[in-house]
Amino acid sequence: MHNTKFDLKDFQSSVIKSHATLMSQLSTAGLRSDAEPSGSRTNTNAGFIKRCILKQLKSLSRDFAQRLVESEAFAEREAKARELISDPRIHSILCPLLTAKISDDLFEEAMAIEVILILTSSLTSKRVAKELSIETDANLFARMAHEILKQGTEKYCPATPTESSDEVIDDFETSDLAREIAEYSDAIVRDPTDAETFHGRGLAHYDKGDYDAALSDFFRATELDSTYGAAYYDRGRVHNMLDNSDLAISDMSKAIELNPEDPIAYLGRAMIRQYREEYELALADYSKSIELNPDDAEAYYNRALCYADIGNSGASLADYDRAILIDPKDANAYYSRGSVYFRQNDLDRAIADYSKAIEIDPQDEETLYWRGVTYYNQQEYGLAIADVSRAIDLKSDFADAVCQRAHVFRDMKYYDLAVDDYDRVISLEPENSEAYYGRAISQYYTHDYVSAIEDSSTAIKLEPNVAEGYVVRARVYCETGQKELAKADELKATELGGEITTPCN
Amino acid sequence: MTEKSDFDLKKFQSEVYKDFIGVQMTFSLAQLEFKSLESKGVKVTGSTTGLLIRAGLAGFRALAKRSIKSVETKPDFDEKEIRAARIFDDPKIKNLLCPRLRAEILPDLPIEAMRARMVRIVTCALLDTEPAEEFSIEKDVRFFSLLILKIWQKGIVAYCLRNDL
Repeated sequence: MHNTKFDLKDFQSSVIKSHATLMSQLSTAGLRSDAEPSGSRTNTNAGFIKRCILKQLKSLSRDFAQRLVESEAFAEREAKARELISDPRIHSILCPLLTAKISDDLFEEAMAIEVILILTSSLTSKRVAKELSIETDANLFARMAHEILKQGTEKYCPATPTESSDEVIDDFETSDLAREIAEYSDAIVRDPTDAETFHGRGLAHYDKGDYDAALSDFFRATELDSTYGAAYYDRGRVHNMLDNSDLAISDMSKAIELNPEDPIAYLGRAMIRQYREEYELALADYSKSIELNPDDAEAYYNRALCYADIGNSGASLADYDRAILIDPKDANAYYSRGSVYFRQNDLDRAIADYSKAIEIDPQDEETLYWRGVTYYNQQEYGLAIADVSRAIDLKSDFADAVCQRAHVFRDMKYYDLAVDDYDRVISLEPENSEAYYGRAISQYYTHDYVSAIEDSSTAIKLEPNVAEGYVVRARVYCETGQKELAKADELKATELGGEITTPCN
Repeated sequence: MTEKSDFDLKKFQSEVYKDFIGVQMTFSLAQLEFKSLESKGVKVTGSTTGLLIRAGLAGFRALAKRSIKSVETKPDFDEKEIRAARIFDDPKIKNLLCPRLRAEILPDLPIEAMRARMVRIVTCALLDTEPAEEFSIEKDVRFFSLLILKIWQKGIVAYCLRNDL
């Protein structure tokens, strides 16, 4: 894409000029609503010959502009620009910034320029250019800006409904469970000695989240039938939910003792052991479960998680591969394998897996957030903003996502938007030192030194052993001539492992 | 002067933006001519923008005819220039403008974006009721162009030097 070194500022300038030329051409050709009516600017004081010449010149330039706007190349570019801006992926990249930055009170030229800045800073990265086939052509970008301005940002980026339908689904499920419980209860009245009926009602209570009632029913089931392995297994699950992991393991072991060929009981005990950080025992149980049922994707998935916990990335990836092979529609497996790749700094593979998980479950805010973080690490800021903004749309109090978006805004030099997002993080999590530190950096770059010192000091107070706060405060002290304080902070930052790129002199 | 109720801020800003580009271009050309006069040993006294622009008129009529004409035909140019200089130097005005200028006029913006943002910041801040009344600021396109030109020439960092820490 960029054969030579790409200079964003130069490109932005070219797009702005190209857009101005486009406006002028459309205006001259009479294709803009605000085009001057013919002859409106004829100088009535000029002599007859001069007026004739002016009229002739105007007519010539109008003809030229008309031919230009009717040309094939012009139409092609217009079609391409329209196609690009209607691409949902581009839409999702642009809209968070357009809605935040473009307001109705901007005058015409300023609005066009701000739209161009957003387009160029979000859509000129290598990945975007390659994946979305966007050429870094100033005329094309000018045309895209024109199309967005013509539609208006409010129409181009309508407010998305944030209400989730989950609650409605939950209501349905709750009423179904209530009916199920009532039916089991009727059956128990008719025959109070049937262990399976108690077990069935216990499962319905469990699914409803009523663990005490579930525990009581599972106890009754095991009392009625002491060889009922499934009841022990499910009682173990309830103990686990109630944080009684000793009792949970004891019940799972009893279930295994009663049915040593049951892979599910091994799987259940393995998960509890993993939670207790008894990784070797957990791995043994997972392996036994897999031995008994080699086609169980969940067992591979959980063993992969366990391997990841002990830092065995290779074994973890092999198990995720197997889990995905068995169940290619498991979004969690792609997400988790993506996380292993992320930790290995294999960001392209991480993005590929996160993308697959999002394709399967587009409403998963965690995966969107992590793909956003990965894009950010690749300096793909437009894509990062699109993902974290979507995550925030899905979960408005997702502080990590808001904080991440603030970082992206900050690195894109939209400091005002960064500060707004850091404010939001601090209101959600008043002890979030990363937000104070990030806000301090934004304030430093906008020369708001008083606030920058205040925020970096708060970050230091919250996390006295983290170098970043000292690094920023040292920079601000230095910039404001307080060199002794700057040097003291630099020393502290260095002691804590921080890097001082430009020491204060 | 337009009545307050009819005043269209966006249209006004757009006019200031266009005029500022014209004045800036004229000034750049004039500055070249000024240097050329000095190199020829011509002594030019005074240091105002107006003087420079007038100096430019001599040498670049053909190049900057349109914008120079727009400057030339305004008889109250000097008066506006003096008023702009007074507002430019006022510490209260600096306090009003600088936080926003520092926050929004970033060095890695293209020049066109810097111009547009500067026009928006200066017009919005000074046409707000309170400062407009206190400093008797008129809704005059050329006055704003000259004021913005002064800030532009000085540079945000130099104009907004502060000792408040």
